[in-house]
Amino acid sequence: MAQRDLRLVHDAASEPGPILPSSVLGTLIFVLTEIMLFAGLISAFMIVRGGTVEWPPPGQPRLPVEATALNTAALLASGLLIWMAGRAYRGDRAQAGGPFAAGLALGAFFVVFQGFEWARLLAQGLTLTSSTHGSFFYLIVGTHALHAIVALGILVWAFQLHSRRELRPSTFTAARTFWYFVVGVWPVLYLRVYL
Amino acid sequence: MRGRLAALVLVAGTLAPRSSHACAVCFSGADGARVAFLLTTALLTVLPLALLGGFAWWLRRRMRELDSDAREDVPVETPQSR
Amino acid sequence: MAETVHPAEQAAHGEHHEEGWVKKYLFSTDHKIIAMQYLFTGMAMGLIGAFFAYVFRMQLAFPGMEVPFFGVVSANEYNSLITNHGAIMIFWVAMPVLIAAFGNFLIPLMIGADDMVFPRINRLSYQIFFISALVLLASFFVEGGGFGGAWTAYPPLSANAAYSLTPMGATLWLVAVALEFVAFLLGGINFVTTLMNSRTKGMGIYDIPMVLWMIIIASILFMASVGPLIAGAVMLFMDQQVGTHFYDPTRGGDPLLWQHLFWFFGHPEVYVVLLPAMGIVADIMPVFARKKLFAYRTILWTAIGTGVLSFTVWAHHQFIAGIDPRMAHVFTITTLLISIPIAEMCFVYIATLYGGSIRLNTPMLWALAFVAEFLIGGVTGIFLGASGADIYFHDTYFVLAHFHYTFFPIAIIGTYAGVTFWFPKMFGRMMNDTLGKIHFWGTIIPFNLIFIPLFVLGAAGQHRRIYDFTNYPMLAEPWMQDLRVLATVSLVVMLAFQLVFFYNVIVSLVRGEKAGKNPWKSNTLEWTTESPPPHGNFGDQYPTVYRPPYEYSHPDREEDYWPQNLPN
Repeated sequence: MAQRDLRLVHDAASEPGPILPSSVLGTLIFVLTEIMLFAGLISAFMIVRGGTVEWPPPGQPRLPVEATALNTAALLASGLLIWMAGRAYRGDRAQAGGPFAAGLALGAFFVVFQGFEWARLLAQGLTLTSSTHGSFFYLIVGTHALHAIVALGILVWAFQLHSRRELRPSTFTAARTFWYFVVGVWPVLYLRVYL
Repeated sequence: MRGRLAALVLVAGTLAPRSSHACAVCFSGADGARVAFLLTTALLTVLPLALLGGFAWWLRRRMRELDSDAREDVPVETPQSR
Repeated sequence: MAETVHPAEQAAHGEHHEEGWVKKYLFSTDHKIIAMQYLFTGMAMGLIGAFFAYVFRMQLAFPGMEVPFFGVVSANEYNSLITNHGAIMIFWVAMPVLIAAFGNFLIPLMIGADDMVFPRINRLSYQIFFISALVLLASFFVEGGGFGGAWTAYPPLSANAAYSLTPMGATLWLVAVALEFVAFLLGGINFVTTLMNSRTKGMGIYDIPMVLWMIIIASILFMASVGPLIAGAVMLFMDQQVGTHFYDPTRGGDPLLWQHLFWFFGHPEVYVVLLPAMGIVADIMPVFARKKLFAYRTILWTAIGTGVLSFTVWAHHQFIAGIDPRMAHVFTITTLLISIPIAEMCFVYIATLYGGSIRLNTPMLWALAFVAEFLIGGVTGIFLGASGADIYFHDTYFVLAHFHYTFFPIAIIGTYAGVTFWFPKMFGRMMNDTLGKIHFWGTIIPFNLIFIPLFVLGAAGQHRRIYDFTNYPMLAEPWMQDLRVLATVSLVVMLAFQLVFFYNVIVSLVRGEKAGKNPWKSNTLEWTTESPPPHGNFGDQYPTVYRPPYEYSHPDREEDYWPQNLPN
């Protein structure tokens, strides 16, 4: 009789092995910590913002809400494409390359676009030390950008493995999981920090 | 039932009075910050529990699925393998 | 069959050739070596933390004296000593020893695996931890000395060098703490994944020894709570070094924000270190009572319940910081609630002892002392959890004595229980029981004589973090000074008795009686392999598990123990 326990080790003889491969489980645990990191940053931002009368503080530039909305759409589309690549990968692996590359390109576009926005904001006088507004903007968005760059690096590495036909499904799932986190946390940051 | 009602009233009573704000050590700063502290306290408290609870729930559901699949596919009793 | 289980590790463990000393002991990926590295680093840091305690206790008992081995303690040095005593004991002793050392050593051995799932990440974890310890030690020697803003590092004191007078020390301290968190993050990912995915054939969820459950739950608590503190630490670092004003109220920041983020981590952290110690005790008691662990599933669910509740109590550290009084009500209730599961665990342990044939070997003495002393810590916590009483007790020596009555049983008694119990498995030789008992009584009696006087002093209003009480006439009454001297003398006596332990370790390593595979006649899987276990732990054949871990004095069996791996 199969045990009705809550076991991560699946008992079916046909496919022995864990429900979640170790790399995916490890990534999920890491993502848990990362979500809490961003929850901490957002909490700090809400508290400091709540203590002010006027936000953004007088004399500080407004954030580019519309342009970043476009960029947000690009990032979400990238997440969708990577998801499609993951689905294709389960069937015909050759089919996965197209959406994979497109998703990577859109992700890179997001990071570069953010870079240009930063340059413009810096020129307008919003710096790390100009006000708590600037400090929080660069801290939160910068932390996200750092994650996006690292996640893109992992995806590029996975793409290279894929083109050499050496990419293991569990590695791909782990890499995608991290990218979904980067994509998924951004709308929350956009809604809280930009609007 | 009466006990439950009494407990509810008690909890509501501890939450309601604004007069306790007269306390000397409580900060008098902007109302927004106070609300933000309350909100983020709730957020930080609930978020990890929700994430972990959600994961445990998903795991349990997946286990059930695999268990029932296994029973249909492989009727023989097999020792558990890692 | 077994060979196909860990494909990822075959590269790491495929060949068992002899390696050089450096590769084998300094850059090993073997979980047992990494455990020893954590254990010895943690104990070395413990000696430093204990030395700091000795220095500032001498200053308090005999103000202005020239402390032997240190010299006259200045006010700044005093601040730095108490700050780093706290930080070292929590972050560089309790966590590395209880979670990392015992977790690394026990998890693969107790679940019948050859190593962790990610051995290289495991090695990286220790390396980062080691660097963090070096950074912390370096911070004592920079200009201005080590950080002196208390281990809780409240801004604006910690954020502004003009206030703390430690421009480099504060930053290095923060960097060291952040590195330590990264190390434990990597370790925790490994622990959870290994327990979930590498269990040997037959090991169901209720066959896992309790100590592993506790370490896993603690790791999950740590990883779910550390994120906000990392966010807060980055902001504090930027305030110190970049010139931002996150915590500066004059420039739009909010100093309370740090407490908010710090204690969100800080209170679950208490349970992060408590649960592994609870687990060690749960694993020792059945062995020396020759009786099944009472209510295994109750303990497990109680521990999970403790974990859930531990996320809802943290604001009780801020009762007088000016939080919303309604929030204080809620946190008072949750704080009092969390004493229920902890008390329940203590009762369950006592129920395990009831009717057992108890053997008072050294590990058992430590385990019993853990429950007894921790109860005092837990009961005094009730006073502090009530927001009304806390307004009076806050930041007095009552608080200090309370958390030492929790942390000392956890970090010191729990560690000694675990080390004396698993020493035969770690090194293949028994420790001397007589010396062990001398060390035990020489630690426990002075421990109580240190902290009971401090309860009295705290209730009399003695405030924490004061360099010299003779400056405050109401705190410098002769009877108060006498109690301070009593506490300090007891501390020196206790520290002197630790020499017995180190002597015992060294003598036992060289001349101890050979332990054999299973000297305590215990059931769990680590006792089925050689002592010390070879590389790869179980040789060619992984053990198979047939029953729960605590089947002692089973009526169907002649011997009073029933190892998990025996078919019948």
